[in-house]
Amino acid sequence: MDIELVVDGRCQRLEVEPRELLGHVLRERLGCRGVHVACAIGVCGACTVLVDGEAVRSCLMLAVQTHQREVRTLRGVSSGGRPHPVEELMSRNGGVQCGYCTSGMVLGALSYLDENPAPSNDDITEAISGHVCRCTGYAGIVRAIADYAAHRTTGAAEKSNRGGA
Amino acid sequence: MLRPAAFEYEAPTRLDEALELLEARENAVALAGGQSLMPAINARAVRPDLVVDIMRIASMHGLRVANGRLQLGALTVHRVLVTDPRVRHAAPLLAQAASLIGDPTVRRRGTLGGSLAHNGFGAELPVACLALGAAIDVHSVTGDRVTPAVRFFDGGHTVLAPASLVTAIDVPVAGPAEGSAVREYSGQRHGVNVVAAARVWRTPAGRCGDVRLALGGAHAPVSLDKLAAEHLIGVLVDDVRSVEAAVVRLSRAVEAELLPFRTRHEDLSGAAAGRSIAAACGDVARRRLGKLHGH
Repeated sequence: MDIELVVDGRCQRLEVEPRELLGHVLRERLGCRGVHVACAIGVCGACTVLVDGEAVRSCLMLAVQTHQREVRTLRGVSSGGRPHPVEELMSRNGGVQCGYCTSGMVLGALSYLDENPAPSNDDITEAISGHVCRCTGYAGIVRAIADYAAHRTTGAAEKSNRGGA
Repeated sequence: MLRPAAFEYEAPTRLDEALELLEARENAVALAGGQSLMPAINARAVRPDLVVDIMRIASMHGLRVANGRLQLGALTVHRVLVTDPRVRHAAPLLAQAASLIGDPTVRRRGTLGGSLAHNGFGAELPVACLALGAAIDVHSVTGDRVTPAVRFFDGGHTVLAPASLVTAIDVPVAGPAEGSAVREYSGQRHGVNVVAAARVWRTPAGRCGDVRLALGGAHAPVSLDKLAAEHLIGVLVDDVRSVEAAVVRLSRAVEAELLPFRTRHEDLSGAAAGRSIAAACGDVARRRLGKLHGH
């Protein structure tokens, strides 16, 4: 089937089999190496991407379901080749070690903050509850997201999660 | 690495188209939010020849309150159940149950109808629908029929015939004398969560006038209304100690009742049942106090 979708701001046209998962198409055919299809059953969160601005499990979506839609990976929410502010905060707060969960974690958190811009720490824990991290113990991740949410609310953040300033 | 086996894909925009597609192919499945079905397809536990994506069928979306009932399209996503003020007000039990599903990302895609049709172990919405006495509307090419929740769930399966779709769910609007609660416990040794949903009615004299209790998780969703009634009817719901005493007896009775279903593993079904009842009694009191203070 022929599909046309916008990925990280660029229009992509390709022919896919219906069975091809969005996560595999992004990673293997469109070079989005930040998309990690790990468990492939929707429980680990590593494959999370944004479709039309909302976080979804790319292992539980078919590529054909994104025809005429907009997909953003972590690369697509930063701009000018610089990391998104929440990535920098994650790094500074000890929220990144191997980095495998980071892409999905950040996108899941950003999508959540769109719906709840002033979360408590309990809210943030809930927001990342579908993202497994085997390295950091999560505390640094929660701190980073809380820090980002606070600055975003006060207008000090430079970029939105829609990509580009 | 898990990848699906090959299948064809259709995305109809009308219900009758979808039903015809499902009827015409023997090995077709309906795909809604995909949060239950896609894991099975990825692992090749399910190998359909045709996937019929039903998310574009407008008539299966939407919800409204009418004639004392909350009517929900089967494609209502869990996030809407949690956040929509009409659901929170009319059927708080549904909102509470949905808030326990997965995580925020899963709740953006997973649907009410999909959860009921799948009836997976540990699913919260089948239990909530049992406690609510939900009416489940099912369509096929031959017509539609409404099945009460207690007949829809059949052990670990449903009575949903091949090539038919859950299209809508209908639940009663909660009245002012009703309290409800859902309690879920995870971390059991076999890894499956236990979930209990309870509704309690308070008479003007302050006693439990009626009760509904449903349980699921380690076993298939089951209605325990009779057992709950035996232990709760007549209890002073505003009196914490009376409620606790009744709840302890009920918890033990639930465990005894479910003994045939239990494995060697520890089972928190009794605890879940008891805690949901206690919380529902607390909810009744809270609502009543809210009313007294004009909330």
